[in-house]
Amino acid sequence: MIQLDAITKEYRQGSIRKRVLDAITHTFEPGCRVGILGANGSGKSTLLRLIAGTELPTRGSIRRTRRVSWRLGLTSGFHGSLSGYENLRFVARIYGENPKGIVRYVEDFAQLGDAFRYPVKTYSTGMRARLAFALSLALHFDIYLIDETTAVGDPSFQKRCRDELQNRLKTSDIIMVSHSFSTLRQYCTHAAHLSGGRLGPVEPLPEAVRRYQEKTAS
Amino acid sequence: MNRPFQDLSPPGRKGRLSAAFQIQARVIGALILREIKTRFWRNRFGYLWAFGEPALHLLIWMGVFHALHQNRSAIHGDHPLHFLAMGIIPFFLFRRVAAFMSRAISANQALLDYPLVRHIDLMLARFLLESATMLAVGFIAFLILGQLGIAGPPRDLLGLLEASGLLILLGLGFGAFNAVATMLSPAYDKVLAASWRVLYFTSGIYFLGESLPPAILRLVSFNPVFHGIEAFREAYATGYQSSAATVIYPLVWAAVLLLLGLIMERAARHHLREA
Repeated sequence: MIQLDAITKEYRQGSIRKRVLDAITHTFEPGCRVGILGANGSGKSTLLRLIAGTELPTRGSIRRTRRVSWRLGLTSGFHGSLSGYENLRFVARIYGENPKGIVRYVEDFAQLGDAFRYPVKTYSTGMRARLAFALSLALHFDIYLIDETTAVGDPSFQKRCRDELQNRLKTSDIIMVSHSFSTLRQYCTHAAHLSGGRLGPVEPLPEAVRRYQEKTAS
Repeated sequence: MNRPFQDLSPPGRKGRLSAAFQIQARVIGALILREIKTRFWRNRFGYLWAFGEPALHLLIWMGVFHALHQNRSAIHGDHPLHFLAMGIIPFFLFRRVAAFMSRAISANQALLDYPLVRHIDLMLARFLLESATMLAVGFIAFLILGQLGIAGPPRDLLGLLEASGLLILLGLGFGAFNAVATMLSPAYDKVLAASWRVLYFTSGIYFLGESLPPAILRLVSFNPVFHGIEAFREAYATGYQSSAATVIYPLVWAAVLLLLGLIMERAARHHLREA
């Protein structure tokens, strides 16, 4: 369960203060697979970063009783001069997992072969993304946060990502941001509309999409 | 569903606290292993540099002393190299801890993508690693000087540990303050660079408090590191009694700086996580 209690997020740019999220209160119950709809700049990604805990709300509080992922596909947390293996072990350790088990899963899934032993700074963007994606699946989060990216790498690897993620829906929940309705349909059962810094009610996906399209058309 | 939670609500306050400490302990443990690798193993000379830097300063000051024909120690009966080592090694104990901690947040920004990693963990990991490293460096350095017949065994081992502890705590205070302050203001780095220089020349690396005129001694006594180094010499050297060294004054500095650093971190936490 994730409880958002009146969270407000403001960014300051010099003397200008911009309120991106405005006192949002919402509870994501276990079993939820929620998409968040909204125009560009409506604060969807900010909301995900707050839920992940990467950033903190200006006011209000967030309570998590289950393990929440970082945003899927994120690769910035790797240290360039450490090898793929070393980076994996580090993340496994901070999450209290057995490094060996994590390494085995990622080796199998990401299939980077010898590259695991090289410093991550020698990786291509695609290789980094594969490593990060496999790692976030290896850690078995209870709730996955997805910011558009449901798959990375070349087409065959993308298929692996999607299949594995689909599989994961049996045991894990998802909160995702996407502009593609077809992607949302694949992973979500419900959706809510974020606009003007407020999160609308969570509705079954077809209704939410219909209402969203009506609103944006008018 | 028996995996560790990110943060726990029930059961009860006590369970939550101990779970939080467990998480913090394993995060700091993982960070220390990572820092060891990036600091020392990325470059095979990393460990060497831990000794090399103080040794280099030792040699430079030996050269200066030699050029000034000051080839005798300010402390009667002590080898000049021992005299300098008793200044430089404790100084580097302070400085390395402080300097390494000063970059704890700025060098690890990317890690904040993992919500489990907090600023304070970054600082603590660097503090623990660097104080342990520098204590080992100091121990080995004096062991070598002892084998060469330059330094004898310390007069007062407990006092020596106390002085070292004092300098480490000063390093902790300075380091915590700097780590946050450099993130808040880019101009602070310039202040910091200047203050390293002032500290280097006023901490009593190459002079004794006793050898200074009273007016200068009063001025130098404002430097908390000077107190630590005087205490170190007093505990090590035979027959040196410092009239200037106090314990309370540097302790207050360490405590105030640490507190300020933590308060600034708490106040600016939102901002620091956005950077």
